[in-house]
Amino acid sequence: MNLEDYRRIQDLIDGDAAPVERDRLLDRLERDGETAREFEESLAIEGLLLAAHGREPNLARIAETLRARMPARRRLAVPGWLAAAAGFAIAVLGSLALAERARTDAGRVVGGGLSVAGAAIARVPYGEIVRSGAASGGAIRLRDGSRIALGAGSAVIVRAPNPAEGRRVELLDGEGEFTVAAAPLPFSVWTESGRIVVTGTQFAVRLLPDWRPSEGNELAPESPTPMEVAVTRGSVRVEFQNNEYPMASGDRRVFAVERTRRAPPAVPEPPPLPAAPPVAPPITDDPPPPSPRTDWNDAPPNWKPDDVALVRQLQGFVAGNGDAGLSLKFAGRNGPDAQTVTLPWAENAVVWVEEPAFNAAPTDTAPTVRRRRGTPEDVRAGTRVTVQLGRYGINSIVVHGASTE
Amino acid sequence: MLRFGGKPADDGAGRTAAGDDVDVLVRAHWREVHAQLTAIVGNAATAEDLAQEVFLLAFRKGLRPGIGARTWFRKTARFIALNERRRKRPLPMEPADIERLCDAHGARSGGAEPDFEAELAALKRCLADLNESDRRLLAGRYERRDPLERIASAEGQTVGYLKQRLFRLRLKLRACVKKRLGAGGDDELGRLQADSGPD
Repeated sequence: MNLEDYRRIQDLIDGDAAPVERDRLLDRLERDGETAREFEESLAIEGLLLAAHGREPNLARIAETLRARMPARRRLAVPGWLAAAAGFAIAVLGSLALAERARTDAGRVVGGGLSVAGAAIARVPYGEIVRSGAASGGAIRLRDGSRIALGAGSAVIVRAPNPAEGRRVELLDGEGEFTVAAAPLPFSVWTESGRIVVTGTQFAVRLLPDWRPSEGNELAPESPTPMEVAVTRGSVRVEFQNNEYPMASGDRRVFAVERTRRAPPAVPEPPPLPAAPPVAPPITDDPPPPSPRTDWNDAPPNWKPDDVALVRQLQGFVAGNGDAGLSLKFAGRNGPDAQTVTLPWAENAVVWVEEPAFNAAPTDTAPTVRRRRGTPEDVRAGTRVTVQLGRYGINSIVVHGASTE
Repeated sequence: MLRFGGKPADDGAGRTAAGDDVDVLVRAHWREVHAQLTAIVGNAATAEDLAQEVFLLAFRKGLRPGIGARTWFRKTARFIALNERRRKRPLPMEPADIERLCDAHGARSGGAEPDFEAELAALKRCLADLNESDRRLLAGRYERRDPLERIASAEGQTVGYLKQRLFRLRLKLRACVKKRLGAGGDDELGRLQADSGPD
């Protein structure tokens, strides 16, 4: 065991190991006996330190809980004299069973076929990997009334709700549609790519391992599995690559880390031809040729949208709205150097118009706003807007009101 | 005596003994299993869930209190916790794989086992020998579970420096526990401590 291996183990225990390093170490732990022994020793001192600084657990309660979960054949026999009190015991045990079910049961399967460790299940336990079949999906109704519809070949883990993490579901593979019942604890869906946090809504999440970026771009090596989120009702907040993306009803986005495709190796150019004698430009009355078209793939270098997400959020002022698309002028870049780009409208693009809420005080400097569904005609020149860009153009746009630029 | 896959106890006395085993095993091993799982997964609630899985696996396999039980628990906890860390990788281990690995390692392990309570008592004595600053650092890290950034800002030190201090403290405590229990293996630790630089 060398110092570097020991440091890697310490980083893993501290949760500081980079994903690649962690995977490498985990592989070594499974194959290399010496590293495994060192890891075990390090873990032992870590366990001792935690035990030395921790609170004393209630071991009697733990033993009782475990006894209730033990396989039936290893449970205690009920002495014969207790049989007379069976009626009373049944009532007591019934309530205990219900309490135990509340503690261990996440919900029940209400459609399709789901399994845990290869065995078909009717009830969904907390903390287990629940898989749908390769050819058919399944549906789960959680205890709080929320529903999860899993696609074929999908896997989730439902975690026991707790005040720190709320109601947490982890989507490991495939896709799921979530109809979330409103409850005090927030509901979140975790994937390896990001997290979606909601309070009461309907949305779908799909992991897209085979997704490919648009032409000219490629998936960055550091990108997690691309993830598509579509919101049917309500609103959600997606946490992706240390950024947060609010999404409203009707929004659909793919989250991935994209980069511009690198050019193939340069082919040596032939030697230049001898320079021709200069020719004076002809004098005509024609207007000068138009400047090259700037579209949304040619983003100015000072754009502030998130560079890591394919779906980008831009804020600016509408310069024009016509057949070519929406011309957007960027905030804070007025004057002669202002840059304007033309963004195409995607199919089924959604327009939201912000208006002051009815109950907003007229003197309120930051009045509460509400949104109504609008039409492309509401996107007028001079208005301040927030644009959500998808692969095929503008997915949604929020019109914040008249411009004061 | 450690028993795997033993004949299920089907008489009343056997079942009572099995029920007693739950208490004995939990009292003897819960704290260590839970602490080790917490060290790997970094979340006490998840560690509690996983610890229950470890003990249920033990009961399913007919593990009885005695020599070898601690080694089995330590290895099983490690496999289950590592699988939890691997969960988001393409091919997490199935429960059957974990059982197979635990059996293989359990069969290989042998020899005298250190006693957890004795190790804990030795560690507490070693902790008492540390200076106030080191004890404060360990309390922040293990008792309050403060992030290193918070401790660093409270102590006016960098996170890198604190990590180095923790790194050396763990080595030092490990060597101290071994020394107090009269166990060997100081050479390797001494070399690691020397490689890690001066205190």
